[in-house]
Amino acid sequence: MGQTEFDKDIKGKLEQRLLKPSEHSWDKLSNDLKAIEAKNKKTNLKRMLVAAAVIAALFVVYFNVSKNKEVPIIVNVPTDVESNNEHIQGITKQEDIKVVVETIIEQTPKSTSQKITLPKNADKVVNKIDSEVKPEAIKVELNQLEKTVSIEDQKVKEVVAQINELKKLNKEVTDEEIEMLLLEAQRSIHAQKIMQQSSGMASADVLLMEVETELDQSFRNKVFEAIKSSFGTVKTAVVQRNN
Amino acid sequence: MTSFLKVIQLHKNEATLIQRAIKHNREAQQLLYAQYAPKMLSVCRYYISDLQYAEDVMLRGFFKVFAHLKSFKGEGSFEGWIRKIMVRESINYLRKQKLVEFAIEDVEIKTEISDDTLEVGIEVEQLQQLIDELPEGYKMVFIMYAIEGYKHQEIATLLKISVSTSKSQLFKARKLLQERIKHLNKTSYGTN
Repeated sequence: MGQTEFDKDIKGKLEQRLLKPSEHSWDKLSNDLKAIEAKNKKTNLKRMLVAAAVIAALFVVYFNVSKNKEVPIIVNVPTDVESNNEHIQGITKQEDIKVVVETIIEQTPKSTSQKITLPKNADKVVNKIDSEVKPEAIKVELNQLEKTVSIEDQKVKEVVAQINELKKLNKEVTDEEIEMLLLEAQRSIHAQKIMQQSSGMASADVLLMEVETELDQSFRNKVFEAIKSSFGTVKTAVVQRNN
Repeated sequence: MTSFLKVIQLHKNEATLIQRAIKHNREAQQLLYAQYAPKMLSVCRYYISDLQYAEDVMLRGFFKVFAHLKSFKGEGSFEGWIRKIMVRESINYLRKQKLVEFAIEDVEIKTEISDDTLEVGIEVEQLQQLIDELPEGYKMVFIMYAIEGYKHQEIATLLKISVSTSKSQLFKARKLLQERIKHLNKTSYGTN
């Protein structure tokens, strides 16, 4: 059932009609539009202020959080540093820092890259080491270390020569005799080290303390390795001669 | 050809006016109002008997038009878009006034439709008066269907009634209106 002719006639009549609004109708509408636009502007301003406040608050919170956040530091440090943390915490003077550097060089030639969390004081010490220890000082320390190593090698040779002499004289060398030789050589090495460290002046107390220390295992090993190799050389010579 | 160019020019002017009105240009808004207000007041008057109330409803409609002008996508005519807003405003007004009552019972709709044509002599205002005198339910469905061109499904959705109620209201409205027009013609011109 669509529109009938009757419907169309009525529509045609009514559509032709135009009704003039009252004179002040536009003013009334205009005032209403002004009011709503002003209200919208206020609302927009409020929203912008709220948004700005929220953004500012977020910025402040982010700034504070990022400020307080402890960033883990990745540094190249020797493996033993972690165990020496307590020692490092107490270090503040430049002389102490030199000692630390020396200890690090002596104790572990191998350095590994690993993630460690240092205490706040340690950060300062590490920074201090970076800034205050001059490369020249490190060079001097390394030279001293090389000298010490060469002294040890020399002593090893001396001890081996002495043992060989004893072998020639007595044909048999007792453990006690070897122990005595090693101790003497150890004392001599320590004495020379102390002389080097204190620029030629040996302290009696330090000497006494060093004498009391036990025989260094690394030195002992070196000597035994040297004897073993010399024995091997002699053995080979004897075999070749017999052949 | 000249009239076609005029239509294009008019459309271009209207589009420009709409764009300016979106930006709260008061002059553009006033020009659009002046162009469409007489027609829209007439539309509101179809539904609302009192001209003053019809104007208030029309002003509320225009207020919504300008407030939501951004949502006009240019699909269909601008006049059609405004007109829909006016119809809805008029329906809302009548609903708020609780003037609309729909008979719940569905009458048997006869397939035979009296297809009488409107008598030539009847004036628009007389016709409007006859429409005004219809029950509100009849009147709304008749105007929406016969004049605005809504489908029964659309009317049912807008008025929150069933499609069959819409159909029965239309049937009754037509029948009643035809009888009254005939009666008017009899008394005025002595015809039939």
